[in-house]
This record gives sequence, C-alpha cells and structure tokens, in this order.
Amino acid sequence: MRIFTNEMAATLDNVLVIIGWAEDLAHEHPDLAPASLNVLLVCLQEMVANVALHATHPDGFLVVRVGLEFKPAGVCVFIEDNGFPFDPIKYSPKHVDTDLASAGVGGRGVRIVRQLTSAMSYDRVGEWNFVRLEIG
Amino acid sequence: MEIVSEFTERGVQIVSLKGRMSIGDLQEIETRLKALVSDKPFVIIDLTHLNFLFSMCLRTLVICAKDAELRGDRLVLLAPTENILTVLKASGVSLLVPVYVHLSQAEEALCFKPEV
Repeated sequence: MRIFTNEMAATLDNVLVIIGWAEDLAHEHPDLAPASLNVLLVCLQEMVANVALHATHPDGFLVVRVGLEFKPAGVCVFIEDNGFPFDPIKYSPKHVDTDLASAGVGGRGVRIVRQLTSAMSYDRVGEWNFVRLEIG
Repeated sequence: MEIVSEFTERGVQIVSLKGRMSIGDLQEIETRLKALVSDKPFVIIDLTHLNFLFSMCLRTLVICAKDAELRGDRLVLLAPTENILTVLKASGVSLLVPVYVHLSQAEEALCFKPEV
C-alpha cells in the first residue's frame, strides 16, 4: 500500500517535515533493515531538497508530495513535484573527484542516490515530475 | 547535533560530531566547524557518534578539508559507522578525505613527517 503526504510547498523546512514523516512511518515497519532506513532518509532528503533548491514553477507555487510503499525486501519511494521537467536519470553528475584541491564542494547528491538505490525511474505527466526509487 | 572539541597529547585536535547532521542546522554546523578547525594544523573529525549524514552536509566536510589543504594543514575523518561510510563512499568523498578506523592510525597519519 502506498501512503502519500499531502501536497506541500517545496521548501527546505518542509524537507524536514517529510523526513520526519518518512521516519515515523518507517518505524512502523520493523522489518525494514537499518541500512535501508538510512538510504531511504538520505535519498529522500536529497531528492526533495533538490526540488526545493533548484526547481521552479511558472506561477511560483512549487509543490511536492512524497509516497512510500513498504515491501518485504525494502521500500519504494515516490517523489512528485510540479517544477520544470527534470529527469535525474538523464542528468550527468560531474566526474568523480579524486583530487581535493580541485574538487567541487557540492553536486554529489544525484550520484549518491544512483549509487544507493537499486532502481530509479522517471516520468513526466502533464506538469508533474514523477520519480520512483527502489531501496533494498 | 553536538560538536565537541578536544586535543590529544600530540596536539592533534579531535572534533567529535554527535547526533544527526541534517540540513536543518547546516549553516550553524558549517560556521562552528570552520571556526573550530580554521587555525589547527592537524584535525581529526570523529564520526563515531554521528547517526546520520545527509548528502548536503558533505559539503561542510569537503569545505573544511579543502580549507585545511589550502593552508598546508591536514584533516582526516575517523571511525564512521557503516551508515555514514556508505554515504561517504557513494559520494566519492572518501576518495578525497582520508578515512581511518582507529584513532592511533589517524593520529599517526597526520603527524608523520617523511624524511627529506
């Protein structure tokens, strides 16, 4: 069963609200491995914060909602927003830095999500982005 | 999140991060951490008691490490839990900032001066 948050303004404050919601829900599923819970929270924060920080909406009313579906082997995460189209699968993260002096300080989020999830999909339907992550 | 600073007998500063490093207090953490390590030649960031490291917070660790290198100082990470190490590896940050399991190893790596 998928459980969704309400639509909420895509702000950094609401990232924390969503993380708290996801964590509370996850604690109702003790079968979820601690490592998967960690990945869930890391990826969720990254993806929703990306919307809050980088997405825009023509009318300025950018909203996001998140869903979770717990499964025996893990959890599926659904992130939906009405920002401009952004396909994280087509996004090319910067190369992996190996030299501290020349390394950038940020821009590692999508790479982390790709590394930590077992699958990622993206759809654009109407004015909405739909991202689905599989964890575990 | 709690930040505790102490020094070893060899003068190495250990900054322990305890709790959860989240975006809610990112600015405060960055300001405090930078102030703590800005003039120290050898710094160990102890992650033993860090429960969660969200990806945006990696920026703070990389900034501190880059600043140290620019000054000619050295900064390493110590004893991340499995969850934290997962994020450090997935991000590639573990390739940039040395990670040690034991304090003695970290301290030795910082204080070791190769013979000229």
